[in-house]
Amino acid sequence: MGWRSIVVTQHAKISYSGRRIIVQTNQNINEIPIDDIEVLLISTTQAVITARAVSELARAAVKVIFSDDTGEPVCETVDYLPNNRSVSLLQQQFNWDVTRKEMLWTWLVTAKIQMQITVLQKQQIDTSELDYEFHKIEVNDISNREAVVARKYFPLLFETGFERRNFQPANAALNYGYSILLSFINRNIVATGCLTQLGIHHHNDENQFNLGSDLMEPFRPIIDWWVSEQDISELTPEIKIQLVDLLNLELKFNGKNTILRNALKNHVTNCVSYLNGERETAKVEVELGDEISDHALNRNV
Amino acid sequence: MRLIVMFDLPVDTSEDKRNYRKFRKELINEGFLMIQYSVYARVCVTKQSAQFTENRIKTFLPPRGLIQTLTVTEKQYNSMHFLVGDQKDDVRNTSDRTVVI
Repeated sequence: MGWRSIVVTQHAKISYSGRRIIVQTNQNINEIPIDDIEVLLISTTQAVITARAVSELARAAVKVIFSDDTGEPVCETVDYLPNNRSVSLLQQQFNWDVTRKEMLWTWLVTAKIQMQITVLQKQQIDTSELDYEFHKIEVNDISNREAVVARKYFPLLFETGFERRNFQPANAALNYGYSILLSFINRNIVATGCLTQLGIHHHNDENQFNLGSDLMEPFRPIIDWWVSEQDISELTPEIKIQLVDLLNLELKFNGKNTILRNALKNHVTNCVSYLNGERETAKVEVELGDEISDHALNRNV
Repeated sequence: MRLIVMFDLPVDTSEDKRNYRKFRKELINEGFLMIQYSVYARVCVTKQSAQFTENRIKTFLPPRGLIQTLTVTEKQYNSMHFLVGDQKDDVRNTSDRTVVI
């Protein structure tokens, strides 16, 4: 039911009373109906949250994300036992058909590279190198075009010599955006009753969110796009908030006008039901608008 | 989209008063905000969710009195004129999808 992201940025006490989340700050008291909240991001270490609030938020399937002292998201709540998770569902997930997993991964990678090309085109950057790699995609991406493209894509989008692994402010912003995106995808995966640990391509032992990392791929370039449009010299609170607000970006998903958070919800359901054998394809077609402006954000309820 | 609930409830007997208090509390628990005495409003994302909320209200109605609901769009609600006084400054009175506290 939720449709709202709440970002807590200052000294606050977060508690629960009468189906509302109470955020008490130095200046005032904010009351938010718990059914409205989809994501609660606590982007400060100056906040306290009561156990009752955590448990009620979990029951309402709200993703709570905590940040460290630098404001980077460090952990999130994962529902212990969502009421729709059953043994049979888990068995289904463990037995996902290999061909279906491979096909889905192919679609995800194709959509991701396509999005990366679109983003470059929007910035009027020559994409011939990427197009060349794009045409060489094979089923299950056995030749790992995804990584090859990524290595070419980032230096093209940002300045030459740009690397994902160093400590540039733009990288910090990208990481921030990705973790918000991942948390949101995870929330939806948990809502379908699946385990976030068991992915279709990612299988890192230390990654608790392998499935989320798989499914989020086509949407990463949206963050890249936004970050590349900004001139970021430092990851300020303002930039962080706008990255969270990207969940409300208007776009076209599978032919329908929608906003990113609803598209992600649809995407996760599509993918999971495809893997469960309930549908024959899981198409991922994302069309972006002309520009990301503040005007495009926050507009529709 | 906003669901507005307006009511007049009798407060003659102590039972009436109890019914009134119970109804008001339940409304607040449903996420309603008092925009003025006896007038409560709540943001609903779609028409269906407004209908859903109204159905929930039907489960805790007091036995007597007058209670009316009205659904208006976001645009209509925001074009409300304030002849005297100001709009309530509360999270529940906005429809922003991202709220920064």
